[in-house]
This record gives sequence, C-alpha cells and structure tokens, in this order.
Amino acid sequence: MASLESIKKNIVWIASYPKSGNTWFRLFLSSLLNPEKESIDINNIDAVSLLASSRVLFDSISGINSSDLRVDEINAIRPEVYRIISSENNNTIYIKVHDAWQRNDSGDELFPSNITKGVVLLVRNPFDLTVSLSNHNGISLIEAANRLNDSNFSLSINPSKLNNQLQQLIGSWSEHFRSWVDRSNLNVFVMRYEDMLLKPYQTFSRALNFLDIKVDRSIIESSIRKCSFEILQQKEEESGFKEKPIISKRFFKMGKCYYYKKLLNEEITRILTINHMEILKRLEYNCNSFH
Amino acid sequence: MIFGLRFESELEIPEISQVNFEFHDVQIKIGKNPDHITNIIKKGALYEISCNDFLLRLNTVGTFRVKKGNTIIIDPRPNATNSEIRLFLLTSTMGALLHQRDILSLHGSSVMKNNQAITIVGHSSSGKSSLAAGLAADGYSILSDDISVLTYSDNNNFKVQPGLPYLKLWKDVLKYMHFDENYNKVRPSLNKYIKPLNLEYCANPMLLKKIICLETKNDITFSHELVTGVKKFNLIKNHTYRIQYLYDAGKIQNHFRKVTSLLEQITVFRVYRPERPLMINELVSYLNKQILYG
Repeated sequence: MASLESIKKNIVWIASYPKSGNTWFRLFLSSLLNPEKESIDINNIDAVSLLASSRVLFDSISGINSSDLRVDEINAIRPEVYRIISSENNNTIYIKVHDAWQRNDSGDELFPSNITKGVVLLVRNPFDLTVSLSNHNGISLIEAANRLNDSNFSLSINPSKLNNQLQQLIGSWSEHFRSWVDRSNLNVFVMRYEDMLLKPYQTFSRALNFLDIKVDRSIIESSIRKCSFEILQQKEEESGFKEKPIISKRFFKMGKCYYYKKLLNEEITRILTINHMEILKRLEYNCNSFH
Repeated sequence: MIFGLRFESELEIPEISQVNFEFHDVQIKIGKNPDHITNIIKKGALYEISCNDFLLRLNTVGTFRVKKGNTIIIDPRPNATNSEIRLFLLTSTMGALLHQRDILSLHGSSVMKNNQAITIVGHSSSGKSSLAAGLAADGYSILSDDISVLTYSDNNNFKVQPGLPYLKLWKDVLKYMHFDENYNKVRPSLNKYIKPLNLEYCANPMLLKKIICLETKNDITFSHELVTGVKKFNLIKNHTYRIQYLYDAGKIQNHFRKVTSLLEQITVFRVYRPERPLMINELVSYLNKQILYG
C-alpha cells in the first residue's frame, strides 16, 4: 500500500464506452498541454497515453507477469498499481479507461477514490456507437448492438490467447454510464460526443474548467483546430495510427453524428431505444428523433 | 542446474536436472516469511526490496523471499499447488535472485543454431515464446524461455546460459503449431501450457550474436530495422528481466556497464509482426531470409 503521506488525488480517468471519443479527447488534451507544437503527432501523445488496461503497465508496476495470473488476482492488484502510479507522480496523470466502474472480489474499488481527482466520462448515443463499433471491430450491426445490450460485455476476454490488454468488464451501454455516474461516488464530468462535434469550443472549455486547466481561448481554439477530424484523418492517411485495429480500414472514420439513420434497421433502433431509454433521457438525447 | 547456477532445494523442482554437486550456489527452503521486510529501499504493488533482501507477496499462492543472492525462502499458502509455487519461484523470484547476484538477464527466449545464440526480447504478449517454438520447428535448439541469462565467457564474450527445458505456450499457439493439447497447464485455471523440450533443448551455454526485439503492429506485413547507438542501449536496458527489482545506484551502474559491454558483441534488430492473426511460420521465414541468414 502507498503510505498515507504519499496519497494524493492526482489521477483523472478519461472513461468511456469504446468508440465514444476517448482518443479524440486525449489528442485534444495532448495538443493543449503542448501548445508549442505546431501540429499533433497522433502516434505520440505520451502525456495522456496511459491505458488502465495495459498489460505492459501492469507488469512493470506489479513486477510480475500478468499472464501468470487469473482475472480475479489481476483485479485484486490493479488498485495498488494505480496507487503506485499516483504516488510516483506529482502532476495530474490522465489515464484512459474503458472498464465500467466496479469493485473487485475483495470489495476494493478498482479505480480508488482516494487517488482520483476526477473522471471525464465521454458518452455517445448508442445508435451511432453501434455503427462505429461494427466498423471498428469488423462485426455486423446486430452483433455490435448486442454488445451494447450485454451486461457481461467485456474486452480482451479470449481465454485461449494472450491479449496485450487485461480483461475489462464494460457491461451494457446504460450500465457503463450508471457505474461511473451513479455508483462510483467520484467527481464525474459527463461529456457528450455529439456536443464535442457540434459545440466544440463550449464543450471542451467546460471539460477544461472541470479539470482546472486554465488556458487562453486562442489555445483552446487552436487545439480544437489541430484535432479536427479532417486533420486527424489526413494524419492517419500519412503515417497510420497505432491504435487502429488491424481489421479496421481507418480509425478516424466519420466524425459525424446521427448518421446511423441510413444504416440501422428499425428493429435494432427500437431495441436500443427500449433498453436504454432511461439513460438516453438523462443525457437529454431527443428520443423521438431516434425513430 | 539452470542459468549457470547450482541449486539445493527442499521443494521438488522436476524442471531442474538432478545432479550431485559438492557445493551449491543457491539454497531453496520452505519456511515462514515475515509480512514485511525491514529497511525497505523500494516497493511495488507486490514486492518489497531492501539491500540484499527481497519479498514477493502473492495472496493466493504464497510469499517468496530472496536473501543475499544465495537463499530463497518459500512460504506457501495452504491451497497453493506445487506447480503454482514453482511458477512464481522460477520467474519473478528468480529475477530478484539474479539481480542480487549481479547477473545480467533479459526478458526473452533464446534459441541456438551453429553454436550461436539469438535472444528474442519483447514485452508480454509480443510472441517471444511462440517465435521460439516456430524456430525450434525450423531446426533451431532452444536455450531458454522467458528469462535469458547472460554471463561472461572466458574470452570476454557473453554467453546465454541454458534455462528451463520447456516453453510456456497459450492454447492458440499449441493449435497453430499442431502440438499436443494435453500438456500440463501452468495453473489449472489458465489456458497456458507447459510444452517440455526434449531433443530441441540445448543444455550448453552459447555465444550470443543477435538480439531480436519483437513488437506488434496494426499492419499485415512484417518489417524490421537495425537498432544502433543510444536506441540499442535503451532497448537492452528496457528489456532487462525485472529491471524494477534493481535497487541501488551501484547495482544500476554495474548493470549499465554490462549492457554497454554486451552492445559491442551483438547486432540488434527490431522486428514488427502483425498483431493478428498468428503467422508464426511466416515470421520464421521472414527472419531466416532477412535477418538470420542475411
């Protein structure tokens, strides 16, 4: 355990369901924290590139091969790994996370509250998300929608092979939201992907205000410009993007919202609406427009 | 004898060949370990380090203490199986022992052909053991899996010491290689298997000539680059086995000196493979053509 004197609340979890703008937000943050760089290097965003589920990170801090451990043993150790990251850094550390907020088998918080400065939770409407997940993972639309409705949806779960990430329980789209917002007792700032696209300055500024990052308007606007989808797509075209799955043609694909209407059939849309109505309303998505 | 060291053990370790020695380098005992060690210099999520003392604590398996580079004390949990105890004894605990003895070790598997060793380093899941299995199927012998211990030889060159005579492979690799899927598992709940090495095991130290650092890339092709200069030094340093267990300035300096000496002797390549699917045979062909016989 980290000693009491060394405990500080300096970790910001950049949490999201997969394909909800997490990478985009971290690229923006990286650009903002390095304003001297004229353009962003999408494959080198070290300041904000820590990944909570990284096997390499876990192994290096725990001093043991995670590949020799069961999932319950890994989850028992993960909180201590994050405590050590916190204690060894004086600055704010931004960590990407797709897991739902949860406790391990011992009842400990996987993402300890006593080292957490805050959570930026990025959310995206489940309809566009279904299409994006389908493209990203090379699966059908119905398979993608099923994942959003599945309480047990997990990443890196294949028990027959060693994945470069630890197993992560994501849960359904609604459960993921509830876990961070209703159950974690953490200071959570919810950011809608659609607002990042449609009202970028206002939305990114609010997030920076939450993170207590004070910069000039010109720097925020410049960082938004440097991370526009057109530029990110161009960068990916030129140099590739290391976070792109091998089966996906492009990581930065659309950069649009509500484009699902041409692609999702009525049945998928209806089931997603029924399953996630409560959270859709809480997030002030216009449910009538989804039909 | 493994890694060039002679062990006397109260725990049965079938992986280590039984030979009668007059002297041993390391004694392995079963005993009681404290909850913590004193005068801690460094600590991680599961370990504590002080000068010549190391404690690894695994709640489900037991605690492992390494003292003065010559004694290992295992305090097993009641439900831990012998194979589970050996798993953590022969990996992280061994890493701590090697650092206490100032022995250079890399996180990687080593193979041999024509009396020359090649060490394959890489992070967990990069495919080191799988590639070693592929090279063994192509006529190479295997010196070591996961930990490659390097010691000075008579003519001031580094040799790879033989390690444990098995490969640890996941189920998908066993299937790909058409290996028996009835091998023992490293732990009952993991689909990671122990494939014993027989004729393909090399039990003699071999001169190290090349290091291959294996990395994955989201590309469907293989590629490689020669690593030189500072990058070469950093690559070796970063793939030192359990580098986090190095605990004081003197040991770190000594370690860096050895790495620098090693650089003069070897060629280092960074090799990128597709993250998936498994393409072990294609990777072996690529390496044979581009690096190993190039």
